[in-house]
Amino acid sequence: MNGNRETPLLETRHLTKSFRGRKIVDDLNIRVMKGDVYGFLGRNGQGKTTTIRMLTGLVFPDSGDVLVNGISLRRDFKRAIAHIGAIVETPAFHDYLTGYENLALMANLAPGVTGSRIREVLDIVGLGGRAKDKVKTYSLGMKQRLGIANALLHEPALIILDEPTNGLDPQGMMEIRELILRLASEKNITFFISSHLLHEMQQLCNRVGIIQNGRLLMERDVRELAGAAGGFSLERLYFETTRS
Amino acid sequence: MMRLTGNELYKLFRTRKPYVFAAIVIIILVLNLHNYTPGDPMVAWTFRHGQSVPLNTLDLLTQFMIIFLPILLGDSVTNEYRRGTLKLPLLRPVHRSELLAAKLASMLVFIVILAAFYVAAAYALGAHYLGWGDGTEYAGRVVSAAEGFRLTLAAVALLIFPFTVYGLFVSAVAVLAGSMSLAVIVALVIMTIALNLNTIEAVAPWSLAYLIGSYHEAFISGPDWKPALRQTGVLTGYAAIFAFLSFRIFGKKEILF
Repeated sequence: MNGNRETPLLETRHLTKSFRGRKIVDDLNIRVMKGDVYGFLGRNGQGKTTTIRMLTGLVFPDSGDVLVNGISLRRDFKRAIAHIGAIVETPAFHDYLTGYENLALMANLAPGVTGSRIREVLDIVGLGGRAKDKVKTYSLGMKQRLGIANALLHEPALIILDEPTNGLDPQGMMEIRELILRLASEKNITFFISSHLLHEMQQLCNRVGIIQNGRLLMERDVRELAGAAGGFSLERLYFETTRS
Repeated sequence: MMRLTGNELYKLFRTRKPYVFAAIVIIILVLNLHNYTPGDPMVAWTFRHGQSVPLNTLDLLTQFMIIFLPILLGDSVTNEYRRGTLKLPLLRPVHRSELLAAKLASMLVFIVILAAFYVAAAYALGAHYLGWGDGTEYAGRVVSAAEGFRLTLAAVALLIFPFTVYGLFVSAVAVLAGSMSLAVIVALVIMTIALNLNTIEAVAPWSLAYLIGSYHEAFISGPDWKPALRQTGVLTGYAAIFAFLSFRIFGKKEILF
């Protein structure tokens, strides 16, 4: 899955953020290479979502920087964010509009995205048949898929997903997992996925970073561990890392 | 910027809000004109001709703006922040200042459309209830229908400026507030207090709550240029302050929903 190992597609440098005197993210340095499906792991409240908000410019770091394909998000936001598609927390849409209309509004903000591209991404996520229904009639799983369609719209190199299977039933989780793997292999899209669902992440990711109390404890390739004697368990790796 | 503004307008006119506002305008005009009798000492209005209604009832249009603009901006700024939909454009190559400017531009379009709708509705309902009449009454004189129409358009066009300044004040409140209801309540409470302060003569000429309903008068009753220019300066100052606050706060706002 890994392509060019020289320049990270996404990199944070000493990213730090405090809220009301409490350090939420502390000197975070992560590197996501092109072609990775990167699992950003940690329990709830460890700083995953705050990190993702900083990666997407929704929250400003106290110090440090985010580089997307080598471009500083702080210095050149427009050029940097153009490489990213994202769902931050739950996918929120204008529920009085249809799925197609929601995407059409976003297509207006991305040069060159046409109606046929909107229909294409809706088909990719399996919502082609529900495009003309209002979003308020969608299930959580459908909204999650619409969120992925929205993230795909402008053909970004990197998609950032914050707990994409949270709240989904087993069928919905499997659909999202298969969709991510298909997009990673067929469209060569790099994924950065935060989650606390270790079993789910083991089936998706080739590389993981573990965060605890806002600090990155470990970052490593995990596919190479898959063939280890006794079988690889992300759960075991996670607990060994966080305990130590 | 044009595309962002187009998006904001598309969203606005796909909600029920503007149509509910239009219905309220009609209902209030009907309630006021249905039992109106010229010369009734219980009523401040004195006009007799239907064509005089728009020009002489602009205080109603002001009241509509005072109530509708906090609802409009509370929804488009604060409620979108709270629902998480503000993230949608902010995850695209769009600067926050561009997004807020688009929301304010769509507010300006809304003000113009509501003002035009009010004038049309007031002419139609005025003619229906009072008859068209043979002149437009204004400030103790009667002018031709054409002159009355010109004065009406000039007054409404002039009032768009203080309405917009009020919208900028509401926008500063909306970017600070954490919920739509809080934004609406705070904007209306501050405006109500300011309206009550208008009874203090030294305060009124400097008050947005006074100028929002009277800015046009110095221009079309005279014109009396000295107060007209002073009021324009005061409103421009308020516009600069509220616009600066809105963009500054929105630019630094942490998007947490």
